[in-house]
Amino acid sequence: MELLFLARDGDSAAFGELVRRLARPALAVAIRVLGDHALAEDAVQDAFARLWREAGRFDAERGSFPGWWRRMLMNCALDARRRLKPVQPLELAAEVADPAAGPEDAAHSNGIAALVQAAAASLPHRQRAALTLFHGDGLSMAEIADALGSTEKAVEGLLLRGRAALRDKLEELRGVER
Amino acid sequence: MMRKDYSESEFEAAVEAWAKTDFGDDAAIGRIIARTEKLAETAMPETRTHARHGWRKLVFGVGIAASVAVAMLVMPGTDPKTGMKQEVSFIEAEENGTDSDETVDSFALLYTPTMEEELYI
Repeated sequence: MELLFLARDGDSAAFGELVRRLARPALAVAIRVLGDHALAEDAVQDAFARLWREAGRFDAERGSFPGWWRRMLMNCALDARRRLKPVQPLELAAEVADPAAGPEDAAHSNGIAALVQAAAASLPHRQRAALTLFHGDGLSMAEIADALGSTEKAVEGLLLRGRAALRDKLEELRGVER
Repeated sequence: MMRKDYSESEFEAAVEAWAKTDFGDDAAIGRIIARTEKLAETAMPETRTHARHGWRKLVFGVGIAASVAVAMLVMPGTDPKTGMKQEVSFIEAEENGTDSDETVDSFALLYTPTMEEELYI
């Protein structure tokens, strides 16, 4: 928090330290949401640029810094996904989003996480975001709703549908693997 | 091909593993840090918005106060001598003879001076 206050006064060294602390978890979340390393890197870069520009807008009385930052990051990640849309249909984009983690590659991969990442590639990005925040960061429905600019009810639906679709896809991939 | 052999606990473990795996690589993180540091050196953050919001509130408040003042001046109030509420109606205006004269009005509408008359006047 102190680093943020220094950063908003123009302290680039404090901002650099803040970026070093936030970069790794932010990139991991963005990769899970977007399923593409290059897109995720750009989204995190955008989020940090926004953080630097808009540090002065943070109001501690209206919420915590982690929640504010998470919302900023999610907005950038979901925007990156939207930018991808006009170039190719979403279904196709999902299939090619993570070329290193296609069904065949994942089948040969020994990591269960890589297999789930391949399965998750077919899920809509908001479902992936909800799953990531719920299972990865252990956030509550209200916190996820806040990060995604949605309602708790909608997040509940995203999680239910996301889990069901992920399970189906995982079973399908396991079938390919055997 | 489809095999429904994922138990609930197996599925939960798989999702947890995925959600907690660090997919990011050091090279990507290094690039992000380098680019961000460069940005922070070349650009300044926006000025604090709390002060800007203060100005907005002040301007808004002054606007409201001015509107109320104008409304008080325009609206009929209470006569300080009699304590009676001052009201303006068209009937009252007619009774007081303040309305325009119909004959003059119609003459004014009918009579249009010529160029020479206008010059003479």
